[in-house]
Amino acid sequence: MPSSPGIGMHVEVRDPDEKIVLSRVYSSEGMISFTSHTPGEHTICLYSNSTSWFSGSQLRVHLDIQVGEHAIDYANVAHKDKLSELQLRIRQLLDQVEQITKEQSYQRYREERFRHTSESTNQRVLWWSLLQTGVLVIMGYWQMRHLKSFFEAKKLV
Amino acid sequence: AVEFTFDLADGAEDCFYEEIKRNTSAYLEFQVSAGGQLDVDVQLKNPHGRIIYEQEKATYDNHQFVADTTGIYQACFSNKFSTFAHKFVYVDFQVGDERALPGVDDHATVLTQMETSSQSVHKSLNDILDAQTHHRLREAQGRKRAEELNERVMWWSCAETAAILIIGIGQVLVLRNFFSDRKLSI
Repeated sequence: MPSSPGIGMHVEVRDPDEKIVLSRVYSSEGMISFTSHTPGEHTICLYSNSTSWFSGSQLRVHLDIQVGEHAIDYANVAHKDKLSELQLRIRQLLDQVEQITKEQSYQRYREERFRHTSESTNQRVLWWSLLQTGVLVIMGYWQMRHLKSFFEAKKLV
Repeated sequence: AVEFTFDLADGAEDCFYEEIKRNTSAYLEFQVSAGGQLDVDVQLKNPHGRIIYEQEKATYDNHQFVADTTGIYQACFSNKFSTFAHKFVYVDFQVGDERALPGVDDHATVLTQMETSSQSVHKSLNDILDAQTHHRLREAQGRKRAEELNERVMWWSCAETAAILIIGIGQVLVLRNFFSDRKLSI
């Protein structure tokens, strides 16, 4: 796609706690890389900083996202560590296995969060039900007492 | 190959474009991980605008196809039928074969036994990683539902308690009003 000069993109990356990991303005082309420190959903936002001259037109942005073991450039690794072909393959397998292990840790963390949420829901349902029953009973009692004294005051009872 | 998750706003349609050469096999997979009824409309159009694959209100599907023309193919995800539920959609779009490992995979000669078995290990690990991705998406679906439920339980309980209090006091006030210092006959 032909790139149009003069249009820049403001890229913002936020981690699962809504903290900004990266916030940079790029020209019409750019490469963004970051390492995550917390497990979870990271948000990548792209804003075009085009001026009002371009308002009404649409931009087509080419985006290539690679995560984890897909983000490793093996040509570079082979060159830097001077690995033979088989060694490179073994290195790739090791990276993949490391990715699998990371994913499993992530699942363990997630399961804990999920269990926590479920237990919290359970607690909330229990306490709110008790509270509401209590409020109902107290309300009924107060209504009766209040009306009784009201009618007695009005000399109707 | 690219995989990502995006936020599809309610009532919106988002399209993604990819240049594919003729006779290349491509693979599109999507899964709605959160939002509303977890459904989305999908349309895959070839460079001439003809729809080659279509799904209505689907949660998950995948489609393998071979490109018959060179050009820009577009995959459109539509949430137009939903008025206030925005959806999170996971997309996996693969074009052609996996990027070959420099030196190892682009052999013109026959591979040794070591190379062959390492290649099959690589493929198996790819399958494991794929399965893990699906598991992660499933888990995200379940967890988001659970978190939503947790929130709703609290807010609705608050609202109900407030309603009980308001109605309880309101009833008494209305009743008192009937018996106010005007005539008793209503």
